Amino acid sequence: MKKIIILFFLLALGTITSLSAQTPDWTKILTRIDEMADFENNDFSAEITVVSQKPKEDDSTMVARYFRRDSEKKFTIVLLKPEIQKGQGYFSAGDDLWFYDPESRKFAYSSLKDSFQDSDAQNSDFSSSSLEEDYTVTTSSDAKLGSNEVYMATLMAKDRTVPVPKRIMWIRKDNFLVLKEEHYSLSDRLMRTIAYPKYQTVNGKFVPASMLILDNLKPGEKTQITFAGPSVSKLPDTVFNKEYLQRVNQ
Amino acid sequence: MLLPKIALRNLSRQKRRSILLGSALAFGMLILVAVNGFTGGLVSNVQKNFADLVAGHIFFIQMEKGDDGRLLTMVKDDKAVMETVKTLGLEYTAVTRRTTQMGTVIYSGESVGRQITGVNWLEDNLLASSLKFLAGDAKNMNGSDGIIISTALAENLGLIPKKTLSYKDKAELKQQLRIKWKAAGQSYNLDKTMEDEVKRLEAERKKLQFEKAPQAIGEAVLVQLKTIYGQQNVGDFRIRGIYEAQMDISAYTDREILNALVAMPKGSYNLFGLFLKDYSSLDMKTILLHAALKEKYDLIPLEKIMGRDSTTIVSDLTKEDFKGSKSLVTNLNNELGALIGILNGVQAGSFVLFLIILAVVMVGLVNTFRIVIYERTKEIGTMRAVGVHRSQIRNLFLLEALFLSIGGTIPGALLGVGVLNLLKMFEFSSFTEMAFFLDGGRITASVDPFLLLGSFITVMIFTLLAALLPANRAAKMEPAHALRTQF
Repeated sequence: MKKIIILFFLLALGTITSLSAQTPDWTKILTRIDEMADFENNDFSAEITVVSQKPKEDDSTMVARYFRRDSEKKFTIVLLKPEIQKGQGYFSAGDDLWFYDPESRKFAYSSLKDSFQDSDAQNSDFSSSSLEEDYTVTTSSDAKLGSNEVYMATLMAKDRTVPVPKRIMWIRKDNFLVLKEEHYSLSDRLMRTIAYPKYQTVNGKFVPASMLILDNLKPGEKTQITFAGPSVSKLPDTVFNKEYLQRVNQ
Repeated sequence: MLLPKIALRNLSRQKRRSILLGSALAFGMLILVAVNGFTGGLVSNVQKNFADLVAGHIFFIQMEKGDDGRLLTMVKDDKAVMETVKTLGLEYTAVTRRTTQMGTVIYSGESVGRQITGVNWLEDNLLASSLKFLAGDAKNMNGSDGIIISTALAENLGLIPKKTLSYKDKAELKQQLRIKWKAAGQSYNLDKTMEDEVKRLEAERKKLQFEKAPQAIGEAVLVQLKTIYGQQNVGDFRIRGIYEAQMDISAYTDREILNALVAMPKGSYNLFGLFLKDYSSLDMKTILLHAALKEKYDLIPLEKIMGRDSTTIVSDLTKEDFKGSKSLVTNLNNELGALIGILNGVQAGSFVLFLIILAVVMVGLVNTFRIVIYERTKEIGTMRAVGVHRSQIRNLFLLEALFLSIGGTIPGALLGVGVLNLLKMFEFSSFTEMAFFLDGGRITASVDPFLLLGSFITVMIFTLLAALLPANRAAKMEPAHALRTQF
């Protein structure tokens, strides 16, 4: 009897040990994902192209210059195309965001949670990642996405101020790159699906080469964002304030 | 009785002169009544339409800062407001306690931004009775997943066909008509044909919309919105009713269902509105209520409220660092801001214009009466010689002036009312941008009776004053001297 108890105890211990070895450390993984996309002490700039497709409407293409300084949690976007919107821009510092319209020469206070230029992208898609700070992984499992071995993790918002209450993410096991994510509402309805088909490395950091966003509430609506010519060259401080948007229009 | 008769006879002796003076007075009165009535109607319609939209004349809003610095708007306690309203004797017809939040209504891939208003249908009877339904109704809305939307929203979502032709439709129609007529080689009046065709097509569309609207009842729509903490949420609703409206900003749901979607506690609301029985002197009533509530709530000071809409006030408060709860007592005029000020300015301007016209007429009157007295010097001498008193001579001229003012102002006022009634006959339903100023698609007039009475009295006083000096001079004439005078 004693032998059976010892055997059972050893078996149970082995199972627990092997389980704990398989359970990923999600705090570390989320921190790693945030770090991979965080340019820390470097500035980041790129040209972004946003192509929106809506049923019964012609495709719309918008080109913009995108500047980011993660150390100060700031970004600036200046629209270059279409011609009619040229000069419009966004400036974000922390949780604040302003939209500038050169026509009226006025700033309008907006939110990171609002949609970007009537596309399926959100202003927050251009800010730095803060998954570790905002989310807790509640469930995860192994899965396969295409030829990639991935973790499929469900992330729940840590508090009620996080804009997306629930995310399901497909994360590559080998390098922790996010390949796909789904955004759910508080009522658990799928709102957006985002795919990251290709990444590019800039100064050892990963930036998506393109993002495909599907609006699951409006079938047929999708937006593709591509990032071209990424650079980590130091940008002048003057780029990261509201006045810059006024100056580029003079 | 003899004096009034003589005064009337004298006026009729110089018909052309009397008519000219009377017409000048009538013109002034016509301008005053028409402009005053027109702007009064606009103010009244704007107040009425806006009050219906925002659910009240006086509003009470409570705000507090969340843990993350976000401003949360939620009325937690309006007991003291109700008690104070009672104490002040402010009579009201209805109280509304609603939850409002901006959202996007989605149907079959189409999406339209709208204010979503949660209503306590058991308590808030006013709304259900004021909505004019094209299809469906507001029955059994309490606790249901029903949503009531406007025809405009239903049209934009593609739930019902559009009633009116868009500018693009009209341009295409015009082009088609031009090609058709040219091909036929006939002469044509494009504008007239176009007008007839638009009327015919819109009548057909209206009929079609009426037929199709019942089919939209029961259709499922999604409402995407944010909780009061900024989290994204989506709710499932079913179309319960489509209401006709000249203008709309809201889709109506059950308050508790909306509260759950925006993470507000059960039974709470973020807008408290009071419909006053008499909403004249609205600013004064708001100031009184504000003063009476000062001890009971931490109120935003009056100087930060008057003349500013609640969005601006709330936006300012977002930047302020404060603890606990702040309350706001405001009214419809503040929400309408500059618009009411402009309309009141136009009303005041019309009165100034009237006074200018009156001043010009007065100069004319003084001169005319001086000429009249010169012309009638012998007649005055005769009257005095046969025993007419000085005071009777003075009164005769004053009576003439009085009759002139009555004869001028009353037809002027009646003409003004006529012009306003003429305006009422035209329907402007198709001018959606004017909807805010219309009542049932028509321009209505509201003439301030006090202003009208005041204007009558002003004209009379001014006319009598203009005639007083010449009348006194006539009264002081010596009969013998007057009879000897030769012109």
